[in-house]
Amino acid sequence: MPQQALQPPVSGVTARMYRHGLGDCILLAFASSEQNKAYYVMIDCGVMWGTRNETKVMNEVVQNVIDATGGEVHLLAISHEHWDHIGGFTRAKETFAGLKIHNLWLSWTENPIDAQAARLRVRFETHFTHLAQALKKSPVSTLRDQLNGVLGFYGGVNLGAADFSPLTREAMQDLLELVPPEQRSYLDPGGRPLALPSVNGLAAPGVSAFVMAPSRDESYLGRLEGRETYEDVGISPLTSFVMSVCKQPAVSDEHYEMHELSMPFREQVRIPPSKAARQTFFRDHYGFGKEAASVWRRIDHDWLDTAGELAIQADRFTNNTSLVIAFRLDKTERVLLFPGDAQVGSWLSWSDVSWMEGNGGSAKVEAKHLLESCVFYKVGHHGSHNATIRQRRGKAWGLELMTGPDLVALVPTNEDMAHKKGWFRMPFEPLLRRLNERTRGRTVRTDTGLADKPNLLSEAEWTAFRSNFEQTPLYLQFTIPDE
Amino acid sequence: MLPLAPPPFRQLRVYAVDPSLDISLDLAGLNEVTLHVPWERDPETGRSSLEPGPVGEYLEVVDFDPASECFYAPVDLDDPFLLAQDGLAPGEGDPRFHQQMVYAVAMKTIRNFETALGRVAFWAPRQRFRRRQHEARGDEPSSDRDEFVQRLRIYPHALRESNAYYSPAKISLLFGYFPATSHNVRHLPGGIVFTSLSHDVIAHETTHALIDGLHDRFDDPTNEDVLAFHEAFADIVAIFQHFSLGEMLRNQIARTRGDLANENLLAKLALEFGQAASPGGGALRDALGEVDDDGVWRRATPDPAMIQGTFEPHARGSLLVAAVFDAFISIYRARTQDIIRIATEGSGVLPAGQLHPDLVNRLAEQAAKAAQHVLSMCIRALDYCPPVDLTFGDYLRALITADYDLVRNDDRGYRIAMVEAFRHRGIYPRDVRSLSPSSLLWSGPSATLRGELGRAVGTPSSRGFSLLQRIAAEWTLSRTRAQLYRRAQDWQAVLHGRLRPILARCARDLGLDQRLKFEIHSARPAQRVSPKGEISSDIVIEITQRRAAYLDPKQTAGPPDFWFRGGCTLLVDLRSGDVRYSVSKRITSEGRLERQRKYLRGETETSLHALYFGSSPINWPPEPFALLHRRGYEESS
Repeated sequence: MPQQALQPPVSGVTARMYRHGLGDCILLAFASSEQNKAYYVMIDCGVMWGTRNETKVMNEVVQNVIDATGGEVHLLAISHEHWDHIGGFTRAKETFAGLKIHNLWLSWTENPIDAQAARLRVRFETHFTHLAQALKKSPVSTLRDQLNGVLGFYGGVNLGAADFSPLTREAMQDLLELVPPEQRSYLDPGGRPLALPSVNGLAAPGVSAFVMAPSRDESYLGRLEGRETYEDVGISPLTSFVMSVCKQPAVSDEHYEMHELSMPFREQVRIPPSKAARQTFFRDHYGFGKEAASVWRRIDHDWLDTAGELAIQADRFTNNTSLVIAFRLDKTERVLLFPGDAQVGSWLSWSDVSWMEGNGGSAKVEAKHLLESCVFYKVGHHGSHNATIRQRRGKAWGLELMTGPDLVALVPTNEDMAHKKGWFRMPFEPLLRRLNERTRGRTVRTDTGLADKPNLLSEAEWTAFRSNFEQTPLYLQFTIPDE
Repeated sequence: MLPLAPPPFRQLRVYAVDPSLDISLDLAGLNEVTLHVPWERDPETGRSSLEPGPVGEYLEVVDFDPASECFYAPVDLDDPFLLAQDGLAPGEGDPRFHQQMVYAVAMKTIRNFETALGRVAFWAPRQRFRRRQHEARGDEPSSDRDEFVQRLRIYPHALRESNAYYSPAKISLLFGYFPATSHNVRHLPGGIVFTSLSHDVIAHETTHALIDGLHDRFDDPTNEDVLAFHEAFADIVAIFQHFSLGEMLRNQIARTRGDLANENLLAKLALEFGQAASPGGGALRDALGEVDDDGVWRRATPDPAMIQGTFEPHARGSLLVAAVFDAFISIYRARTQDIIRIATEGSGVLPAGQLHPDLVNRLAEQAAKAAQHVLSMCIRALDYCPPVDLTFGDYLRALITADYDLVRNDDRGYRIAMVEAFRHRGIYPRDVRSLSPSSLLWSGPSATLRGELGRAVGTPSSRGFSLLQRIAAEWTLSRTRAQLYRRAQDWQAVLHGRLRPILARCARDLGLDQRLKFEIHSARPAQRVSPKGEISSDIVIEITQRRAAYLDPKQTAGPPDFWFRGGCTLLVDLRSGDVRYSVSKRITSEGRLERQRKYLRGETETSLHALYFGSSPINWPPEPFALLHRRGYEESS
């Protein structure tokens, strides 16, 4: 192995989390079937849209991955299609040319030939186009800022273009090009635990991967589902809103009909603004003209504010399509949990999943067991308040089940950037406090790094933790032996 | 020819609940009700002064539908055709009926406030909101004099979404409409639901505007109860106004066989809205119980621990609503015990089958009376609240004190019923020794304060009048709300001058800090008539202060993270000059400051909307109530 190589322990795994900003990029080195060789798994690669020197930062990260792996990653897992998780594939496209990626894991929602995924995608894109239309139309700067903030997850919006397409699509294309189709797997939760795919005979024995989400049950994904697209009979709240945002000449009778259905009253009672402006009542009472006394009470654009709600729905939906993986070191049954940016809906869905293992699939593993054995938690969604949950139906769930004495949590976050985006609760203080209680101080943020010895740890525990932990300006690193 | 006297009321037809009841056979006949709203008139001629819109003394309805890019012509309620038939008949298809309904229900709500408080209602001044934004940015507030806003503007079709809200920036109510999504049998999927046709939504939003005009700081979230209170209070008004709908009340009494603790429409809020907005949903909120997963309605048992884990303003507010409703049920039961005993020859057990219509009438009469009392009691308590940082516990004390002031002996047990109901919901004041109604009364001011303040406002000037006499006289003489508003501003200025010299001696009793500037937040006279016909006149004076505060307790200088406010509400007898109560939130309280820090650090907030858009309570969002309502909707579904 080269000098700078990331070396796993004799048995077990070393996890490296990059400190490049508000975004995820993680490299895992598992002990492999061959001596002096590691099995490398990379998870996500991106940083928040609008990060300073984004291209330079991402290139540094990818170059480090190349140096650490000798230019060969055996498995790449992508959690979800947000810029802060995949933007690096576009930003550091040239550098990626120097990295050989053998296998790619994606969630079933990314599968181009999956019917359910295709349906969801159509809904999502329709929803998204409308959002962009509302944004284009709204002169209200606060709303634009807010929307742009959320849309930053998709690589921003190009308002000039006639057709709207999030840049994340492009990033997805860039990353797909790195791995031939036959090496891509689209994963469903449950079934049998997966072995890491071997590459030219190199494997990672004694490691099982449990796919926990996204669920096929759409009620867990968020509120994009339901009667909210054109294909449905009748008219939905979203369609009604959209009909008015995207005012276009009626292209067909059907379109005209839909437009009429979205209007609250029949045509005879509608007075167009141009006409109303000439009527005494409206001139006196509405506030036409810039000089009118009651111009401050006009409501021309307030109705567009609901677009904010649509943006949140889109965001929540994508977060909940996160591929959630738990890697288990089989000998010690230690579990490393990578939930992507899964939000409440996803976490709740895990209890529906179970896995069969052993000969003939005789032993049943449940999400509960994995949480209880968790020793390494990649904190979801940069430490936001609703991407790590504590209960389900009034019973302890999520973080509250991670009761192991050795739990370590790493938080890929950047408070300055989050504040710049106007997200003042990222990372969420109460969550950080609870994480610190659960890990007894072994919660480390990528932006602030390791602090002094926490009070809750004994001297011996601290020394043990320190001996497995490493920190540089570029990354945090933690080793979990499987013995 | 003898001149005709102007009519006291204008009669207007509205939906009793909302259009959804129209297609339910057993209730259809009850869904139309005729409201009596004040006949707005020219003081000289007595002729109607209501203009098309309607545009009157308090309200202006302007029907612009920006999403549909059109206006709808205003209704002229003085049209003889409409005067002759109590306005337009309820219906969804004519926007003019929508205008009539928002006007009528909002006027009725205003009327309830004015009667209970004993004075005319004002809307918030225009500058207030801008000042609030300045503050949020850390700028010095502008010193413009408050501009009187005569009319609350109502837009019946402002939004295309399942939402309606009061906009403090525009002093307007914005109502939305949306296609129903549910497969509920009451609805045509895709049929349009108008929030401006729901009695409850109109009453709720109007109440937001009324509270905002009354209490400047009740939307300033300094603890988890403040916004919840705004919501709860708006719901309380909407729910208790149901009991003035005679036919509906009698129907529901008959249906529940006199037991209003059973599922009934009166305790449900915004029926159509709730059903249409979420698949399989019931009413938006229900003060008594809820529909479980199997679609069966169950009475909710009060859980005192619940309040500790409930922070979303609507959900937290609904605990307060439930407490008040429980108190109402106890009061109603106490008031009807004798009737039931008479009807059952002492057994108290009603025979099977339908109740006798006479009995239904008597029960309905008692229910209506009890509801009106509870509603008035709740509204009146607003004058007994501290000016800032209100908690549910404070409100309970205000309720008890306000009621005690008006009705000395609690022979009907109203106050005990309230305390009991609040206790079952885990709502306690922070600073009392016991929960007996007498120890919940706000305490009277100290002798020093009474003496100093009494002299400051009661001593006659060179012209022979004391300040209080002047206020009393000017108050009676003011002919218009605008006049009264400007006079009240003068009183505030004079009061400020009178208080400054005595502040050093009274600061402690007033909860103020003598080193800081203070502001006379408002000075409002109030005249109340007790059930026995006794009239009492008070002036309610609010004094506030603020000081720079920091999220980090160790920080003491630099631009403040937020303003920490304190102050007091004084009730002074307008005739005798006696200072009766001083309800204060001490500006010097470190404990309260620490609690506020905790709250502002967002240790209780849980919504995604807050993470992305709302940022933190420190930042002042452009439409605070819109956020509340959208968020409530998101989480309830």
